[in-house]
Amino acid sequence: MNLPAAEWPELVGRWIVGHRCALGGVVLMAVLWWLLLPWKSNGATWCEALGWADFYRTMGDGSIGQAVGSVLWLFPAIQIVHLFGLALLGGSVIVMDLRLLGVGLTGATPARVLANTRPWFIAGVVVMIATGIPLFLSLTNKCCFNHSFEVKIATLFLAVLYTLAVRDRVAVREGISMCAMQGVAVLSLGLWFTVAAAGRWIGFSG
Amino acid sequence: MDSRYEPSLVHSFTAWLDSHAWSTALHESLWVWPLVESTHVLTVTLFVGVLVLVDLRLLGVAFKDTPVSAMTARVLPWSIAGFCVMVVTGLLLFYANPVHLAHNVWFRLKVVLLVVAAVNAWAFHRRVSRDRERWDSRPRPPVSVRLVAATSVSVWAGVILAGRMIAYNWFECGRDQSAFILWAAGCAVDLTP
Repeated sequence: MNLPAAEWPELVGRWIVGHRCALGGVVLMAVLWWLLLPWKSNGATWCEALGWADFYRTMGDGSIGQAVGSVLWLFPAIQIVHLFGLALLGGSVIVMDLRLLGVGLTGATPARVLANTRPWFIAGVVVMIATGIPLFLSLTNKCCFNHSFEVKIATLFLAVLYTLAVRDRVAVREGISMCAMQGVAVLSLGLWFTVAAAGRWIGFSG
Repeated sequence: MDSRYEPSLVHSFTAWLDSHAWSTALHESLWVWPLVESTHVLTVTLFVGVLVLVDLRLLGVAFKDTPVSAMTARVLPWSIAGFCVMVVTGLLLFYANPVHLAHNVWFRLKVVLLVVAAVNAWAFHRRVSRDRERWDSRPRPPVSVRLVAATSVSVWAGVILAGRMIAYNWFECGRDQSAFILWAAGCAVDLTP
C-alpha cells in the first residue's frame, strides 16, 4: 500500500471502530486478569480464608485420592489423559471461535460449525473433569494453598457457563452482527486461555 | 570428559550446547522457562487439538457436511501455526537442558514419534493430492485416507504421552537401570574392566 501519511490515522481509527466489540472483549479480559492477579499475590487462598483445609484433607483421604497418590504410574497416566482432553477441548473451542471471529471455516454458518464442534467440546470437558477430579483428590492439601488452582476452578465455571449460555446461543442465532460475534469469541478464547494457563501454573506455584 | 567414557556424537554436541551461558540462564530462569514451557503445553490446543478435528473429518466422524478441501485450506493452517510455536518453544526447552534431555528415554521416544508423524504427514499429502476431487465431499473418505488419519491421531497422542513423561526421572542414567534402558537412554557405560 502506498498511502499519503495523512490517511493512516483515519485507517487506524476506522479499524478500531470496526473492531470495537473485539477490543471491548480484550478490555474485559484485562479487567478480569487485573482482578485475579493482585488477589493472587497477597494473602490467603479462599480455602484458607474460609477454613476449608480440613474439608479438603477429608476429600483427599478418600480411596481415590489415596490410590492416585500411592500407585506410582497412576498420576502421570491420568495427567496424560487430562492433556488429551485439553487438546480436544481446546481444538473445538478454537475452531468455533475462529469462525465467530470471521476466519477459519467461513464457508459454513456458525450454527453448522457449532453442530460439528459441540460433541467434541462436550467430550473434551467430560474427559478433563473426569481426570481432573482424581488429580485434585491426590493433591488436596497442595490445592488448598494454591492460588492458581482457585483461579482455574473459578474461571472454569465461568467459561463453561459462558460457552453454553452465551457463545453457543450467539452461534445459532441469525442476524448477529460481525462485531458482536467477534466480541463473544474474544471473551471465549480469553476465558478458556485463563483456565488452561492457571491450570498449568498450579504445578509452578505453591 | 572422563577418559573412561567414550562420548557419543550426540553427547559431545549436547555437552557443547550445555556449556553456553544462555542455556544455563534459560534453565535457571525464574519466569522465562516456566513461560516457555507453559506456551509449549498450551499450544497443544492449537496444534494437536485443531489437527485432531481435521483428522476426525478424514476419519468420517466429524464435519461430515464439510468438504475435506475446506478443512485443509481453512482449518489446517491454524494447526500449522501452532506447530511453528511448538517447534520454537520446544527448541528453547531443549536448549535449556540439552544433555539431560538427550539421555532421557521419553525424549528419545518423542523424537522417534516425531519422525513417524513427519513421514505420515508426507504420505497424507501425497495421497490427498492424487485423487481428492473424487472423495472431497464424501462423508467417509477412502480407507487409505482414514488409515493415515488414524495414524496421525495415535502418533500425536504418543508424542503428548512421551512429552509429559519427560518430567519423570524413573529411567534416568546414573540410577540402577536395566541393560535395555542403559542402551535406550544412551547412558555412559564404564569401559574399564
